[in-house]
Amino acid sequence: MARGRLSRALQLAWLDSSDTLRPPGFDVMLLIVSAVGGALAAVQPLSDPVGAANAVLDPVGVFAVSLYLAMRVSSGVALLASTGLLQLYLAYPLSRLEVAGALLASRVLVPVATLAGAPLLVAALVVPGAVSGGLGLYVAQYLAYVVYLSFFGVTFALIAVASKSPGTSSAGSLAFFMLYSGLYVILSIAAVSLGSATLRRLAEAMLFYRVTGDMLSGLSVEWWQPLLVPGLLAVSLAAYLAYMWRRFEPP
Amino acid sequence: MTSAGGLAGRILLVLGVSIFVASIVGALVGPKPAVGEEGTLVPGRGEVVGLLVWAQSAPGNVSVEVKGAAGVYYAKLRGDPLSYLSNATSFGVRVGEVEARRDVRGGVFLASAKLKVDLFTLNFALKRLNKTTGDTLSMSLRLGESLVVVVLPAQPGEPLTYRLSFHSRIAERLPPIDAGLEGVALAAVGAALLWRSKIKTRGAPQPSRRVESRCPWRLGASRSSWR
Repeated sequence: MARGRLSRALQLAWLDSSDTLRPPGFDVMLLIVSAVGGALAAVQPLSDPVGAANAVLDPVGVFAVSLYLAMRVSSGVALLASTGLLQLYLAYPLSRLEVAGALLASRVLVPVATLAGAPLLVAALVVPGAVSGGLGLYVAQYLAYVVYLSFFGVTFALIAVASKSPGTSSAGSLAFFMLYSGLYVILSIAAVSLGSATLRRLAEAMLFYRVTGDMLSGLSVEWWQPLLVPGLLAVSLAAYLAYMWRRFEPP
Repeated sequence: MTSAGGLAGRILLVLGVSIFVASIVGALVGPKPAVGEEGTLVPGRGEVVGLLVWAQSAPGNVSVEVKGAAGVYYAKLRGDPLSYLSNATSFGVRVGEVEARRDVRGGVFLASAKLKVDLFTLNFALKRLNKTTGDTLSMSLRLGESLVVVVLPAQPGEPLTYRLSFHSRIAERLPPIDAGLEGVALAAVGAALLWRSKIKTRGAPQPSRRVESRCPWRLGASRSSWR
């Protein structure tokens, strides 16, 4: 019985992913992050797997994937709600939580895993020497990026189901991303000007992949730093699931 | 709805093109294992010469050769050597002219500087540095480490010639031709998969955004599996 429900949820996720991964938008974004990531790996003197992953994804990849999530996840989920497709999904013989989970898998996990993984795969093929010595570290850093980007994806999905309007949700999602990035910059500057180590560590913790990068490179971090973004992700996920379960009403 | 073969084909095609692009970029401006520079500095009265090497992006071996010096002192640090020299509390000198550059192709930051320093501070600072026996200094730098070299001129106004070189231990990379061929092969496999999936779905209903098209039994799943 449970297997049948899981199979149906996966079937719904696969069905919905045809919208998330539809060409040419997805292909163009995949080409941009992969080609730019590969080029960044090719021009930089990489020497370790964690540094290689950061060199490929940190400057361009995070921004590009977040933008994609704001367009396809946020706007896409709101479009599902406004056109009545989400109500059709909810009419399937699945619980609301299973539909919400299937939507997260197709709208957040699959695009994040693909868009963050493709440039790392290209870099691993172009600079095998940087990766082969620490494949585990490379994969761990990739997972850190997936967690970080999933936090944005889940939050965008929450904004989308709450607003139910494609325009409002994509603008709200972009505003949230800018606010988060701006807060990081403000905290970093405040930490320098006030000489506060706590503010500096808080700013560092906001970029989860930098904290994990430090940990994997053997640098010391505060115990709470690696928990900040996963904690925010858990809160965001709980809010999204609770909203879909108890509060969501078709527009 | 997207077929699995078509999706795999699209992804492989994109990956292949990306690898091809990366190999071309790498061939044009890829990192080189050795970088270096040489030059002449004429320190004035009350000035010493600073030479800085920072293994900013790759570990490696550094070699510094100075001619015409009364003494060559050095320290191995972690992080930006310029900020170390600029920080009066740690070294007590004022950095004058700095000609610094970060060689992107080698991932290393090389710099030469004239440092204004009074004798008392200098004597105090030099006690915290190591002194070389000859005029050549070679050592290994780990990623992020830097080397600060302070050169005392034999006479003020007498030119000092120096040579800095850095051989980085960057990760082994695929030769651009091999990477390019790999990309072309991957793109060809992707294109073949995509073409095959197009042929298989020719005549089949195209994906629609209409509500009815989202009913799973219209998309291949058996109706009984949804009951």
